[in-house]
Amino acid sequence: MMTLTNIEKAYGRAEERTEILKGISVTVEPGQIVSILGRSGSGKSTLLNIATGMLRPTKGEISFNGKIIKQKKEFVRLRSKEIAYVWQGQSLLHQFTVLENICLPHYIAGNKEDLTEKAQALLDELGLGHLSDYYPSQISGGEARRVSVARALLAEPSLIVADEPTSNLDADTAQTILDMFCRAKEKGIAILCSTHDMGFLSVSDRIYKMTDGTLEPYGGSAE
Amino acid sequence: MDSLKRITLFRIIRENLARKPFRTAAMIFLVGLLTFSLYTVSYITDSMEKGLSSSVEHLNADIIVVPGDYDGGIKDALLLGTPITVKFQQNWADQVGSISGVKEVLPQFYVATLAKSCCDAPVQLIAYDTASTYVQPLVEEAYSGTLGDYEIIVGSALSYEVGDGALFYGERFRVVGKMRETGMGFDASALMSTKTAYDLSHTDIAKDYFYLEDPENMVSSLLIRVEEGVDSAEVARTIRETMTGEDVLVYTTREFVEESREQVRVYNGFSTFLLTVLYITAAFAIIVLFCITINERQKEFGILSSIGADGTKIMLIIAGEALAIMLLGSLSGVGLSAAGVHLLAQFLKQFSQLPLLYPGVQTQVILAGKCILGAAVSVAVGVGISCYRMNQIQPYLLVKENE
Ligand SMILES: Nc1ncnc2c1ncn2[C@@H]1O[C@H](COP(=O)(O)OP(=O)(O)O)[C@@H](O)[C@H]1O
Ligand SMILES: [Mg+2]
Repeated sequence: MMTLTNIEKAYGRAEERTEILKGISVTVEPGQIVSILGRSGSGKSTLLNIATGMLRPTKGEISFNGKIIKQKKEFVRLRSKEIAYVWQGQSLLHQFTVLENICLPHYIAGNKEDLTEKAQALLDELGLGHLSDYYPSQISGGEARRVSVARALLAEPSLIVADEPTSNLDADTAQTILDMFCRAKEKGIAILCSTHDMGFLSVSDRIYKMTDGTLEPYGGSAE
Repeated sequence: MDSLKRITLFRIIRENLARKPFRTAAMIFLVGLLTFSLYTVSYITDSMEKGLSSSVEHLNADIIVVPGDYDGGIKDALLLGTPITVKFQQNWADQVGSISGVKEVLPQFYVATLAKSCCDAPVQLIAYDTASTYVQPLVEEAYSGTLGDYEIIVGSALSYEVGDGALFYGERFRVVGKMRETGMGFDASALMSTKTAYDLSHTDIAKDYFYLEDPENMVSSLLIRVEEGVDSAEVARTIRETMTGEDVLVYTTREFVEESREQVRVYNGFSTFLLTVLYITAAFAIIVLFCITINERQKEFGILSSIGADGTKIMLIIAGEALAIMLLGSLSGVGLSAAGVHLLAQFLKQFSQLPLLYPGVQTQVILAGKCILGAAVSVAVGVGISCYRMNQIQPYLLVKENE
């Protein structure tokens, strides 16, 4: 599905130049959860931003379904049709309600079909039904995180990329999100995420640890 | 839960504007302020220029001769419509008419009506020789016949219509024609024949104010046209020489309106300066404000990009918002200005002490178009710069700050 090959990323120029990623390769297949561990600042977010085309790598190749993706435009099209990105921070648009926010990618992609009922059903299922008419400023951080995951699920992508989806959340909320990902996995969706959450590790197909800008397989569940 | 409408770009634009009412209002206000000022200043400048050229056109004379004592008064009467009675009884018409180069002479006689119960209103009555071949197109156009006794042709600013009666010095007049707007003194004047003026001066009320012994000797001013190909300045000099000893002033029409022209020139220079400064500052402010707000909203656009909105869609959103702000701002700016100058029209005339001829609908539309275009250009530049800068940034950096 998605393959990252020899990804390098450096910030800054000349003496200030710091290499964050030093040749990283990783693959995600449909129905797999691939998790990346690593200290804060080790470059996890950088890698996931590169995987979703939000950030250009200094070197390396990204291919999706066998096709090498280079251009900004191609990445936007992927994000609109194939890849849903749940990033670390607040990612909802303040001017739309929760329900509208989770439907938005569908309409941005140019679809005309009314998704309201389906979206509401998904929110109900995730225990977020009562929030549908709220604006992002009216809900908590944990709720917002769950809503972003719901938005990713509703889009029915083939790949979900999630950056620490459960960090800073209470155990119950974290568990709900974990359940959401498991259900996605069962539907054959590929998941690439960074995490510290032991719960995540237990459902992952492969786990990597990021150190000094390189990825190494981690622990027993790694291949 | 009622069915939700599809979220279109239009809807996104609307929500973006509506959910940040203060920001939106501030931008509309700025655009409105720009167009308001542009429109107001250019409208008044245009009125002044038109008023001046209209004065020259409608005086329809090459040379104007006035009694020295009444110099300023006659100028105000002719250019601004401030009524005056010129008690000067001497006939220079024949004397001037015989000077070489002079083609036609039209003597005029000025009587102000009174702010008393005998008169409808203070109006400038102008008597002229209706038998003269010196025809004023403005008058001809209003009434093609010959003015009979107690018949008058009124200026556009007077509230009479053709067929109405009017009361001056206790006598009834009949309105037979109405002149079109000139922006100058004629608008507040009424024209009658010399014979009517003479008859009027012998009535009970009027005789206490002006009493004319000889209708031939009633001259408040002379309008003079020179022969074709003759230099009117030259003729004016000859008239001056011929009339040495008489207390009269001889002006070419150009000289007659020179003070006004000078004022218009000063105002014009000032308004050009003002418009330039205004436009540069306001356009700069608009561009900067656009860039700042768009910059502050990077995260919003980063989110849109992350959920699959391409550069074109994001640009359409920004441009759509800008267009709405531009239209709301400039239309209300121009609208308020147009309403304002309309309401203050009379006041402006008095305040400027210049003949003002307000532009017609067509000119107003063109002026409005120019102002809106001016605002549109600055908004477009703001949008262009913002979009260009945003396009240079990778979406990751757009959303980064909060992480
Ligand atoms: N725009 C940037 N410019 C320079 N350095 C950056 C930038 N973004 C991230 N970094 C650096 O890259 C390193 C990795 O950051 P990040 O990928 O966010 O780590 P993680 O997600 O693992 O905590 C950090 O040391 C951070 O300071
Ligand atoms: Mg991170």
